Amino acid sequence: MLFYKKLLKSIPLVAVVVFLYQGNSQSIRKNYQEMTTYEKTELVNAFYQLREGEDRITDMSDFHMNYFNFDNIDPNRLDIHFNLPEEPEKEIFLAWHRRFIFEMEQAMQDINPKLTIPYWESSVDQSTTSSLWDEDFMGSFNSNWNLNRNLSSFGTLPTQQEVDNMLAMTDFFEFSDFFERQRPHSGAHRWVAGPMLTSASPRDPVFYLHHAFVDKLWHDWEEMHHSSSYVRTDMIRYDGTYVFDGQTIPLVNPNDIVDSRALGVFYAEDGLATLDNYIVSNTYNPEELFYYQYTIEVGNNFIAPENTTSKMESITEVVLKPGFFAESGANFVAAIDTETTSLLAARSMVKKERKKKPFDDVQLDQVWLWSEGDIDPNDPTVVMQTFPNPFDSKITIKLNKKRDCVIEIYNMTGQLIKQEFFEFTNTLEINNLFGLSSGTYFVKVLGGNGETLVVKKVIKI
Amino acid sequence: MLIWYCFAVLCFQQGFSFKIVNKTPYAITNIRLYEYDMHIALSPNEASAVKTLSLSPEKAEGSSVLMLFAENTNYGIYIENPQSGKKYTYVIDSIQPKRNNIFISTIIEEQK
Ligand SMILES: [Cu+2]
Repeated sequence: MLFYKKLLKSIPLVAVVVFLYQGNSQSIRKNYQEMTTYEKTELVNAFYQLREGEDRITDMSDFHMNYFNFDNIDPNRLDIHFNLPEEPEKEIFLAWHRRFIFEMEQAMQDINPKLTIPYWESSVDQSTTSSLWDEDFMGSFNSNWNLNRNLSSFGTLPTQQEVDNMLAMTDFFEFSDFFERQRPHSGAHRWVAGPMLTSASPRDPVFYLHHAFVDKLWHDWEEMHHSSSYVRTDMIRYDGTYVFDGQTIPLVNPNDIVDSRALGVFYAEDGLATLDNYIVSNTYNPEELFYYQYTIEVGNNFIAPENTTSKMESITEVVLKPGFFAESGANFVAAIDTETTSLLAARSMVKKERKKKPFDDVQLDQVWLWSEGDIDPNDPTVVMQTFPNPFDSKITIKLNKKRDCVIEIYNMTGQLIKQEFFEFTNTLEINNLFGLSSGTYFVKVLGGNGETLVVKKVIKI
Repeated sequence: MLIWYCFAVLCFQQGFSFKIVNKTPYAITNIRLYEYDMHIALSPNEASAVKTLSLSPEKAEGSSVLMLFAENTNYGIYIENPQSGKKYTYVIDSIQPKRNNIFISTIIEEQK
């Protein structure tokens, strides 16, 4: 922790910002198969709600249609599709659709902040009887919105091999051109049919799930190659002049969103969401909420600065790793969502099997003896309270003054079970304690120089 | 180099033909298909001449989009990927200008 702290202090803020993203919203996007029943129900309801009143669904669909492509009318006019390879100066396909589904996601989060747009992995999930098309998920829109889908009649979905080969391409424009024109993107448009076949495709809600997958693949590509770059510095609809429902949509430079963290967007996969290289900013939402029913791992330069509010919420576990900072004055909470679990989600929740469990690496050789007490003998001003005690899945530790510290949890035989780092704070929440068996544990608070401040015995029920 | 070129042309280029039929009550202009501008306007119930093209499978897949303009709206629709030796008739069955809908059907025949 000291290392990171010194690193942060020694680098001017400008330099730090180069590799950390200041997001203006938040979301953990997941495969729709990893949504709880609660999330699915809320997503479907949100789509229906967004079609009412000002009707953002139709506005977005009309825009997509009206600016789809102008090559048949005026090849010099700006549009959103099919500009590569001949017109790199007009190209915005991936960035535009990233911003477009983000607009939809923000509208959804105004309805329910827990919502994010899930993705449909069309290279794997290819059955016409997949749960994607269940009547209580994407299925009901077909009749209710007169979509006339015709699944699997036109064209085929991409293979995993095609996607893997595409991700290995090194030139950004070659990658983008292949992506847009070939099956990784166009496959689902043809395969679903109905409006998805046409330039009015955003009228079908599955458009957003498909484009979340397209966006995830671009994210995966960019994490590997770090070379997405546009000639253009502006985009239609996101040019600072477009007004929807009385609100001017801000201007976006496509080069500013080549990393999805710039929008606060992270992609979870196979039961794990890794949140890194990000600064909480609350630009869009007063609380940044990162919600995922499986494991959320936060670390590697994830910073919750002073005066920001953010929350990690999982049904399973939140793991805080080295490189995570909750700075002094940050309101940061990592919590287990018991409310949703006990409601709708309980019915759908299946614990995801991961290869490694959180406590697999604990060594069983060292025996420690502890002197107990709430007061640090060397600094009587350090007072620790732990509650609840006995605890179940979460302990909150309150210190009487803010300080840099390390919290370590040991079992009775002295095995280090858990270690978390906190910067200048006095309220420390440790979740993710499901894996512990019942019994006695010790919570040890170490100061910034590694000295033991206080130790306390706690009971796990 | 020359051998490779011949091989590529003979084995991978696909020759196919297509025409477009307008079954709607509207005049259709600005028709573009396979990145080829037809430079014609189709009146209601009019059919275009048959056009023959030769494209690599990748180019065919990547450019199988029909763009057309009718009733002050520009329509775009993905169409089936063409295969060598086939003749495609793209019938524009209807356009619903108020709802931005376009419906087409494709008749596929063996090329004679
Ligand atoms: Cu699009």
